Amino acid sequence: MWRYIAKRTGHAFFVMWLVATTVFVGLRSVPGGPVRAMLGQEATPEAVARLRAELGLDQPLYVQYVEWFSEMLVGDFGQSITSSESVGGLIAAAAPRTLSIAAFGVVLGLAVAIPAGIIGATKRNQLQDYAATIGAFIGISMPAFFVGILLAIVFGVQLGWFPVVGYTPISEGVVPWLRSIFLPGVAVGLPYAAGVTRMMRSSLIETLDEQYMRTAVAKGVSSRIRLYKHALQNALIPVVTIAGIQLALILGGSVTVEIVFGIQGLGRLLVNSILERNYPVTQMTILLIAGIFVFMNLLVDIAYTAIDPRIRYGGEQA
Amino acid sequence: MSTPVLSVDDLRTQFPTDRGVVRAVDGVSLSIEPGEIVGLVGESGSGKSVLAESVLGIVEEPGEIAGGDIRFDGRSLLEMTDEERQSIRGGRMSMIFQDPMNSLNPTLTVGEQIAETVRLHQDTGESVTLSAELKRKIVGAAKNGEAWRRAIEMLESVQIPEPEARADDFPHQFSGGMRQRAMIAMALACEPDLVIADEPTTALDVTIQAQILEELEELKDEFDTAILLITHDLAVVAETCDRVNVMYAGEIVERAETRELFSNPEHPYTQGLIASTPQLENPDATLEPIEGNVPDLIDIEYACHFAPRCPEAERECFERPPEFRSVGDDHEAACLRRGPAGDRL
Repeated sequence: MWRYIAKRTGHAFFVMWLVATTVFVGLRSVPGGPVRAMLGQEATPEAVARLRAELGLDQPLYVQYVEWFSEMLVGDFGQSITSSESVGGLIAAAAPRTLSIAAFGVVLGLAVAIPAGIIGATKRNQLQDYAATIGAFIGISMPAFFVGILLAIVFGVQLGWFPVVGYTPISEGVVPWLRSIFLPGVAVGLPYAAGVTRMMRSSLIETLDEQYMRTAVAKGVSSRIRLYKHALQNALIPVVTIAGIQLALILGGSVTVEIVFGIQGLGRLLVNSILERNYPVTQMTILLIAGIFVFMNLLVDIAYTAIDPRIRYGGEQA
Repeated sequence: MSTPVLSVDDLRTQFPTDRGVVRAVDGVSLSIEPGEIVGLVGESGSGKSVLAESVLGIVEEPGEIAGGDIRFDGRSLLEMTDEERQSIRGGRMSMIFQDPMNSLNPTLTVGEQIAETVRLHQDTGESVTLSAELKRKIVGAAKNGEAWRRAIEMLESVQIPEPEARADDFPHQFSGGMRQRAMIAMALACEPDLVIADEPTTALDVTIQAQILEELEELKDEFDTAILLITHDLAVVAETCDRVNVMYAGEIVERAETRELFSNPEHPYTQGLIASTPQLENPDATLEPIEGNVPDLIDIEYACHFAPRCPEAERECFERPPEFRSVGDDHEAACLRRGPAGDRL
């Protein structure tokens, strides 16, 4: 098991390095650098050259890469090109907002999806199943920002139950914090829940058809114990995979949802920095979002060892 | 004569499909006395497994028992409530499945899977509520409990080495033969009156097959359990069974004491089955295949289901349903051309 975890962790670091390098190279191959963005089309060649030198953009690419990478490793993420703020500070301000929304979305999504999937599978082709399936279908079809707009109109503007705009840090109280992330959290959580519900339902249906479930019937085990003791853990194995991969949906969704709810999160920061060709900020934001994704999937891999004894003991079958 | 453990009377199990009704078990009668091994032989598709599922009460939807009766120890199973049947399943009547690779739950230890059966059917003083069972799943069963002790005892009696340690293993840590032994341990843990073994050795290596059959017989003697052994393998039948029922296309066509059946097979199907089996002591004998296939069990229009493949079939075989006739000492065959009235067509 420890070998498996070590291998997965090594894998995660490798992926992160790949992401960092790709982002670095990719950004610089997009036409129109930060200098143009800052000085405009009318700038004199002298001014452009001066600014390029100031920003270090006149250096060969590999020198810039080595410099950026080595500074990053010691925790120096550089400065924003357009303002004097440090990249670390910008991200530290934005990240808790996005993480709050995403975490709320995941918790809510799983809390809805797993019971809904179980109901769909056990009441197959009954009213409850149709309700869960239709709900999931709607959830899959609607992008997070659209759900966000609907929620803002209904629960924010019409009913006035939740704030429509802005974010309240948790330091100002748990309840205000929860109220401020509730609607955006629901907006990113519902499409996520939809995907996980579908997976939970089909995986459980498949599991209930397994030969060992017939063994349990033949042993005289009641249907409730068969479901929760014999089937559920087996059915969760593929669901955990999907729940990890679908996190991308949450992170991607929060970029647009933050804009709907006027929250200065990572998504906002990322979009603005790309528009300004603000290389240092863009790089670190993408790296952080990728890092969250990779880290969550590492957690998923580790979660396997808890739910699949075939991985826990011996064999590297994953 | 004592009450049979199991008596099946004119049982009909059907599956409605879009193309018509599949009569998987079509008027089968058989009985098993306490402590005997009765074979049920036939090709795949003959309805053997559906018969077993009917007896255990685990026929899958949309299958249904459309007629006849199944009596277990004198009581009709079909008249019992679901709860009563559930309490019999795994306790007084249990089943060994064909595929040991997929018949054990990959997320429960082997010991727990056996101990669970014991807790459900015997008074071990251990709670079997959902929360108690879930707690056991997460923290493991009480190792000093009676059920766990019994599980280890059973693993030992099916020749699993180091049973205390192996009880904590998950099924994927067992070989195929060991898994089937664990299945047998599970099926026999509550000393049932009847075990239905559906192709228990088919998925195993030949050398393991012999060991498993031997163990099954020993355990049968130890616990005085009756066994319904379902197989397509005549060698397995000859080796283990006291009596044999030959099944074809949803019907029993011949039944006799094992030695009698092999020395004097009467029904043309049984004769064909024996002629198509390779024989070690006579390797030069030619194998005679039975031409054709087991028919689709939807709307069979002819009276004797075997008639289209039968080398001796006459017109009457397609028109008049055969009934059982005595063709020897405690030996019956369902064929118009056999018995006192036979050959007079």
